[in-house]
Amino acid sequence: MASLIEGALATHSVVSVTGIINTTSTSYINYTSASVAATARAGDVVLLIGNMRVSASGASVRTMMQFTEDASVVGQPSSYVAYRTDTGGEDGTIANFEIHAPSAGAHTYRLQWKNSTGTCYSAGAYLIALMLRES
Amino acid sequence: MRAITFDKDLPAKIDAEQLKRETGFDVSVQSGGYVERNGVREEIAPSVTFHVPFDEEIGTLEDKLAAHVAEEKPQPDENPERAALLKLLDDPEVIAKINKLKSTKI
Repeated sequence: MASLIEGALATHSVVSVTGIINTTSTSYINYTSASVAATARAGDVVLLIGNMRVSASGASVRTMMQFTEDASVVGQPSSYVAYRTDTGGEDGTIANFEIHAPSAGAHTYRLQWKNSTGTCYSAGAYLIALMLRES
Repeated sequence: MRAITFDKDLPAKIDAEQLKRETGFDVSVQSGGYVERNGVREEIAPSVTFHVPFDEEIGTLEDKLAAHVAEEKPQPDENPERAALLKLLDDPEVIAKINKLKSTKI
């Protein structure tokens, strides 16, 4: 890992979304506008960093987020469990980090989210795809 | 499943849970805002996205969304005393009497 970082070049794509969004979906769906495009060369590694501010329509509602690359899930999800009812979308933060070896070519990375019941709300999110390659 | 998004002439506030009850489908509502992608900022219009089976008719969803939006009318004033007072203040005769009282020395 050290040899990779020492000689690395990096390209990045970043998207930041602001505005109240909500969903009733209990299966993963795309978070509106939270997508970035990045092109990988053979041997590249992508570091995905994502974050969303959330609240929910009731206590104990669980909101979950995950990354996707094109149509495939990348890594593990992260979650937040609401402690109260709030529609402002800023009671808690779900953050996620993944490192992944993409195939060569153009890819689209997205944030997806879902809830366990009722409605979950979000006031904003960001997604960064940092492409690392050996110089 | 597929996502079908509508973003024309929508109000900023739509009740997602009610719309889910009315349509039977999961709903995502974007109340507007902005997105900044690689330093370029763009406004986001209010939108509603239905998460539906592949064979769902788009026209049916359009009709249900239009019916829902039509129901989202402004609420009448819920305070009857305040509403009655505001109505009085629209009456020119009442205004004239108030102005006369204001100019009367006691």
